[in-house]
Amino acid sequence: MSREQSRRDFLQGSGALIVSFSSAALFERLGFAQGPFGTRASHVDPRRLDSWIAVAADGSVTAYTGKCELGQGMYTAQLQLIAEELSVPLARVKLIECDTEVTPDQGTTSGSQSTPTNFNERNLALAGAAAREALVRLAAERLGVPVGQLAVADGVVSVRGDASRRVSYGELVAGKKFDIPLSTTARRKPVGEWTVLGKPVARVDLPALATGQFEFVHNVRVPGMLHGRVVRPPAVGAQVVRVDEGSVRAVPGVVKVVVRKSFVGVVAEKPWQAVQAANQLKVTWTPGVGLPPQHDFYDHLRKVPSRDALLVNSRDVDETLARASDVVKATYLHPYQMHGSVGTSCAVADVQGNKATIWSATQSAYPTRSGAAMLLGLPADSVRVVFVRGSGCYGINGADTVSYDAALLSQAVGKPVRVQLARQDEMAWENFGSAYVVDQRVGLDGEGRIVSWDYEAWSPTLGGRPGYDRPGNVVTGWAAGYEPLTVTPGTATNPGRAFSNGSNAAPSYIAGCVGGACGGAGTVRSERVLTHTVPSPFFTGPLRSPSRLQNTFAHECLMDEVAARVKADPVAYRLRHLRCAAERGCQGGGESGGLGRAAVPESRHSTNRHCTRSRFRLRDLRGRQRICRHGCRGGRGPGHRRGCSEAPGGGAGLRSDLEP
Amino acid sequence: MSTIALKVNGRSHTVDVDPRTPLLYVLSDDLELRGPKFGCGLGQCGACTVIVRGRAVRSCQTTVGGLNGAEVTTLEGLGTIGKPHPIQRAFIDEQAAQCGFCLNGVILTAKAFLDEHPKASDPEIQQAMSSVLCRCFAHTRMLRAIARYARENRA
Repeated sequence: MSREQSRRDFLQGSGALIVSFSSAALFERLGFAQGPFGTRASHVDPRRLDSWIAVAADGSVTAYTGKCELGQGMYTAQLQLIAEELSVPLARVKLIECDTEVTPDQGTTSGSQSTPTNFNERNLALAGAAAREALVRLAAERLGVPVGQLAVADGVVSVRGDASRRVSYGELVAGKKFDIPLSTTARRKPVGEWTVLGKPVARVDLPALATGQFEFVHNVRVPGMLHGRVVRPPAVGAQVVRVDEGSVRAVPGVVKVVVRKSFVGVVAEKPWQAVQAANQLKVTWTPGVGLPPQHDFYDHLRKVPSRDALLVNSRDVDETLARASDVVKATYLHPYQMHGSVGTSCAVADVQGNKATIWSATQSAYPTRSGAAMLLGLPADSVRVVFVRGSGCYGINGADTVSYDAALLSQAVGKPVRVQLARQDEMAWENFGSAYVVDQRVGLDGEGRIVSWDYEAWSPTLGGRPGYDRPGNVVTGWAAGYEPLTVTPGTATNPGRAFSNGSNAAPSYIAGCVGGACGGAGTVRSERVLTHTVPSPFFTGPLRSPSRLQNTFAHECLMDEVAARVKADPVAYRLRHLRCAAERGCQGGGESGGLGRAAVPESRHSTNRHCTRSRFRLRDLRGRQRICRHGCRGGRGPGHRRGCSEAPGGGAGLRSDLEP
Repeated sequence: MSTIALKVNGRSHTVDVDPRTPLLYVLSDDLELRGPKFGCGLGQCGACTVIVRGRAVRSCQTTVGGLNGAEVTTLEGLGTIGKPHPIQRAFIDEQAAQCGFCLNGVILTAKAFLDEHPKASDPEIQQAMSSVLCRCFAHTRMLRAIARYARENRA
């Protein structure tokens, strides 16, 4: 099925709602701006119920979401949410995800924020509840009974005690739009009444995946589509001096050589021809900017000018460490790590005149629309980004950059172009998870309790997610002349107004006291967390999480080391330093051993409410401890132990250097 | 260019391509099949796996010129959404995927191995699967699905 056909089917299937979007599009050109995400104008106004939910004449429900399925199960989970809130069977819910033509701007699908964003009291969950309330109100008018006497099941509203008086969603709406604001006071269905949410549901995409029917972005085919290939610089910072277009004249199928500043690509009729042309194209480059020496790269990070930040500083850390009965010091090193998606990134773009459509596996449909519009010299509302799933991304792989590649190449030839990156281009130029050097010192009192925690870290950064206006944060935008986000050196000022720990630089075991309020999850009140951000030669970005992998590795390995030093059970030892355990007695609630349900609090969730989180994290902790100890035993002796390889889910390459 | 005849998933095709073109490009571009996928282009990840003459091969490293008349099975050739092959059914039942990009190589490699070694032990299966990469870390579920299929196949 071609993309055009599927788009047509989609329009037919969604009926009247699309009419509302089409007319709403006019508002955007009149300068209508959107609400909560507040970034750029979108004709899909999140304050209108129709932007989230449509009910077709056949009673099926279509939901529109800006949080996309990346392999984490969000597609099926959001189906469950809508089925629950509207009381319709799962099979009668459709979900349209991350398409700037029809879905609200929900920023980026990242940071474990999709569930909090769409499953709490706002956004998609609120829309589901508001739609149910609106439908029940319509039914009350139609049936002539108060709302309180109505019940909803399977998409049918009926009078309690008289099931013969009933009306279905399809009859109530008949394919028309709601045309009402999204209620901010709609009440979600109480948890006790849930029948779909909170229950295991098989992922609806699995059958297509397992039988080779699933359409990844790599499988998107558009009539008249050509195939592009990019030629990336041979070295960091290398720029184009000259491109010899004649060098590929003899390659069969070549349509065009495209050069824009240091962005170089070829377009050919078939993909294998594009590969040949890219391999044979002669490009003269400047030598580039060079790289820091690799043998002492971590020391290099400590020496270059940095932008510093203090997350917390109790101003007594040096004294408490000096007074401590014992001090454990450790340095943890983390190399750059690539995301290494199994499939190289791919996108298809169709840029013709002043209109562009990009089929993209980006996690950021609207931001990618804005960035691509900048590169193409078009207004953002002339660009449509349609999310189609790619290979797992784990932070940020090449999905954004290859979307720009396809857009630039398509614009140059005026025809649809598909680009799939070469493995070497993906690996050399993706936004790596950042390298880290973490120095930590922990002071212990006479009973082996941690009384002081000192953290200092260095990490390099360049670029990142492009957001709405930084296409230079990924290689294609940089090559085309846009600046990436870089580091402006500066010394640390005192911590801000409130404790903020988005990168988990602060360990879970400190109190996190800033401005008189303690936002950390732990008990250690003598605390200092100092970060140094330094310039990176390579593009960087979140790997599995924004720096939390690196920091959590350092913190939890150190906790294991300290627990071993004081001969304490490593889980019990952690609990002793969590505020929730101290204040509310978390011990005893768990499934075994009386160790309770305390967890390793994480990132922005680092408050003691995490005390109530699930048990499996505790199991994670136990698993990690086992692995970590094993690794440490295999180290190189007491003076300079290495090991502590850990972290199921991305740990390869981690190691620690420990000073006893 | 040369004309190559292939029988893919039971259907005969004739393609006119450079004989040095990797089979993967013919399957995914000329024939628009969605199963075989480009992962590394080096035969190291397994995403492009197809079954040729009963053996799992890496289609990114197999030039089409040497395959005239060959029978090729891709993931979509095993079964359909309505009627999946038992090994596909096992993967669906075990919910054995995250992004699912690697499933093509995982399922076909497992099937070809178990066809040849129906009594393989779990460690032997793990060894056979060690050259197929999954970056989502869905390995445990996948191995469970393969073991389920092996068990059902033997029964």
